[in-house]
Amino acid sequence: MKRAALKSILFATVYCVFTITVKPQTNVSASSAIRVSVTKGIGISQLSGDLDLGEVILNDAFTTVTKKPGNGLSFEISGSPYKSVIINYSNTELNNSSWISKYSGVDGILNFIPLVEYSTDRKFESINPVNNNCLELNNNNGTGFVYLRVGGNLQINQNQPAGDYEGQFTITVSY
Amino acid sequence: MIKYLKIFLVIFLLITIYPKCFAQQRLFINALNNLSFGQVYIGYSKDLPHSDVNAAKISFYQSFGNRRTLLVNLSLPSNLVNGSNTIPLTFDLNHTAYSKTDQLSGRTLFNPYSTLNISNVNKNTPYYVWIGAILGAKSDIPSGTYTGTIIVTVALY
Repeated sequence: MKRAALKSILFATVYCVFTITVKPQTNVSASSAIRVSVTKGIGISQLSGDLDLGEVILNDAFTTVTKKPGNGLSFEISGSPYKSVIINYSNTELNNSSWISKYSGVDGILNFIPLVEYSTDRKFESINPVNNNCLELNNNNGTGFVYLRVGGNLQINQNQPAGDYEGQFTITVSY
Repeated sequence: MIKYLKIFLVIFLLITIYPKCFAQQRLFINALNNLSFGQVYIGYSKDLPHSDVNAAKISFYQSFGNRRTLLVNLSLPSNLVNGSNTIPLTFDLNHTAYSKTDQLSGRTLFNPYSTLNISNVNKNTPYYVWIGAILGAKSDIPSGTYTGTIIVTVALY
């Protein structure tokens, strides 16, 4: 009797364990991460100044006229804090074609060589030259800033035709 | 009686200590790619379709047998989070697709908020799910990295 009971218990146990634990896995999960890096776009605004180099009296000699960056144009560049921005600019040519179309004369070209400096403070207390290089924006309450000042040298050749010379200077800021 | 007790004990130990020998995994899932929006400028939105290489990609298959039915459920966040800051995220029918082949053509769009029912799934045949989304980086949020998680659950019907 006892043996029969034990057999029954043994059979029931084995059956239960198999039916419960041998059930295969029927549900699986995987996770995939979502990620985005949010950045402030670059803004550039002119603060003050101009690149007017004034009037130059021609004296039949090679002359360089300089406008210091501190007396030139100043810009504020804004973006994401501590993000690096690349500053690009190049020499440009000024011409007097607009002036001679009005008053007649001889076409002439002047080379403008920009002088650019930057500071991380708006008052330009600490100034560094920019040579088409990479600058890091500061952090002012969650917005990054850097400030630029642009002046330049104007090369006036011997026998330079007279007139008002104009040109466009482009400075590009990018991440 | 002692003999029966010994047999009982041995069988019990074998089954309880090595249950994995008896219950093999037969449903498999792999996250192959995360959903990566890269860099987004504040104030702009970004639409990342399921066909983009940066969409989330999940693969799964079963080894129970042929002509089985699989149920796929997605758990999707409504926002990406960076501390207390959030960016809303939109998933929809046009940004979620599945296919039996790992290629752009032949994908079937499905509603990510409903259970996807795939019938007649053959043994060891991989299926793929791609998940894209639309993200709107509002203009009043701070810079930083925002994250979230998609959970894909596959069940045998």
